[in-house]
Amino acid sequence: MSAAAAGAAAELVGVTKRYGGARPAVDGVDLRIEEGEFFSILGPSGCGKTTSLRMLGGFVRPDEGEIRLGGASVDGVPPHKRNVNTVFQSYALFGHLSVADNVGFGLRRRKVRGEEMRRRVDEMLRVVSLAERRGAMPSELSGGQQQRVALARALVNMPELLLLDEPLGALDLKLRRQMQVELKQIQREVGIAFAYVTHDQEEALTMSDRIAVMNDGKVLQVDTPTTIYNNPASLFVAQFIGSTNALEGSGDGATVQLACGARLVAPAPGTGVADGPLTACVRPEKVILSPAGDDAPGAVTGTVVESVYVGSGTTYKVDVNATSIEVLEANDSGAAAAIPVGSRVRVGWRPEDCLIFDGNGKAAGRCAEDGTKVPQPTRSRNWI
Amino acid sequence: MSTMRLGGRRETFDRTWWLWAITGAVLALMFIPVVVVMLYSLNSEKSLIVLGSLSTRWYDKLFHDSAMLTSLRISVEIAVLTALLSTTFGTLLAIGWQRAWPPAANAAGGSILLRLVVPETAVAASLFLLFTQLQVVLSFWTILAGHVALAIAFVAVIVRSQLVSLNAEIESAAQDLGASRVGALWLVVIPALRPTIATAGLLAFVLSFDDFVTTYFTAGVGAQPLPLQIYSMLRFGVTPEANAAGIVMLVLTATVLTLAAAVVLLVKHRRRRREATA
Repeated sequence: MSAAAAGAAAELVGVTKRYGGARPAVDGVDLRIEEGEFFSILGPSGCGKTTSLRMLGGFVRPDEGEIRLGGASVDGVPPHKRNVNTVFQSYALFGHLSVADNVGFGLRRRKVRGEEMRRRVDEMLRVVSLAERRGAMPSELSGGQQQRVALARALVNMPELLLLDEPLGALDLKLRRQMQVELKQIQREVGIAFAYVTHDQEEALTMSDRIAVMNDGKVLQVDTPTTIYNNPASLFVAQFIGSTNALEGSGDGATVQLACGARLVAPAPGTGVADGPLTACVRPEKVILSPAGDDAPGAVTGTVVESVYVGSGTTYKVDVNATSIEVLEANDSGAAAAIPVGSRVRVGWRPEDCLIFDGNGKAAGRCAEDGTKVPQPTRSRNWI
Repeated sequence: MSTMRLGGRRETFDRTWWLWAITGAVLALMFIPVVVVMLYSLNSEKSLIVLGSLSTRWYDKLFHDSAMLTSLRISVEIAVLTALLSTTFGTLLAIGWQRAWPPAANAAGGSILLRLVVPETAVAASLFLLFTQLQVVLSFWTILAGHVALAIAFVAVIVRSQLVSLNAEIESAAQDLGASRVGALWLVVIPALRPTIATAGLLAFVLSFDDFVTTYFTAGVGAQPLPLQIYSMLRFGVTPEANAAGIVMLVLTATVLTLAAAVVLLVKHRRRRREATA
């Protein structure tokens, strides 16, 4: 048992926590956070991600299961005796202490004093680029600076694991983007495992080495950002991470008929995986638009009903037989002119970009072949 | 008529003459008695009608009146002790009130709030009955007990209101950084409440210093606190010495409050200087 735990900064083994509601807040969760990795727990609010974090911190005790830090069970160990530190959502800085005293708070509790304490505090303030504000009071700092003090205050103790509870939630978008990059850099520099809770999928994709997607107290998938994005294990994950076109349809085991009119070849014909109601998912940036007219048999055509210029690209809403399909066309150099609203367009995608999920929302594979037959994208197009 | 100037400061359109008149009347009602008392305390004549020349004779008399000086000392002692005891226990009460088992906390909180609205005379009379039933000799200590019982409710209400609005995560953060539960309270929560506790302590001082009703019911024979002393002095005819005593009380209270404000400013200033040199 402990041999299996070697190398893990933290583990949740079969952890369940009930708050008295109908279903547990955390329901039989198994997670393993490796040493030195940036691990995100991602999910909508109420999915149990914060409870999981608070159990790691020792603020909440699990009803069932075990929590291990550095391979050892920490059942009943209070927060102040765990070698884990937290960056709180509200930063929770101590308003009566200066920046340096805030950062030195944990060291003082561990009897690290004098020159040693000063050296470590200054070193950590340098890491978060706040060395020149060491004497300031928290109320005199900007939101981003307060955020960095909170980070330094936790990291200076060199914990086995750093817990971060939506720490960027209170910052504005631009600062948040900047802090995402900085956080990742700081994490690499200190080499401490980060457990990062967020409901922001973009944030998780940007920073994480691995992401655990949670919903309804359960872990749905644990993988790298690329795998989560390209190979979601379930319809929920596909829809929660990024945006996707979820197209309803049904399969007869060999072919798939979508409500929008597209006919697809089932991922594994004859195996029955695509039997009954199912959902096909195509990401907006994978949908390819081409002029209607040279309609091949089985081609899917629709009408552009909305066009929104977003700077780096243009998003279109295409109505295809009463199904709305979202398309993102990159605004790269040499891109064709925007497609006017009302144009008839042919909608297609590469078969491998289309994921099939069965009636229970479980991933059933990619289409083998595709009736939508992607035409060569042309740079000069004439829209009808 | 336009009442606002764009980009300018607000016009004083709504301050009509009668608003000024009401404000003036209220201020006059508040301060004319004080001014009159001050005037007559500096009057050389014994009469409260005739104004003679400027004189400090009544202050002289007051400061050579050993009974008055003893009373003043007793009042200050009781007020200081009341402030210390009621802030200590009132703060603990506020913490318990905020986080005890809810039914118990609500019951306790209700009784604390009740203490604020029950007429002081009723509580003071029952304190008197309690002390005599228990055969406690009325003394300095019974007065102190009565004052603490009065002030503690004010302190608890004030401190709790601040405690409720305090970010609960700072306590978790302190524990997260290695402080025990009690340590977190002492190192982080109490310091965050310090200005509020100081304000509550000042209020307790002022409440105690000029309290008459509770003092009257809980005082024994012998030397009396200042309010009782002034009252008994006036019963034998109004003397300008009482005017002087009133002004001394006023100045003393104002001094305590000014000192407190000065301390707050000093702490802020020191903090700023420390940052500048850091």
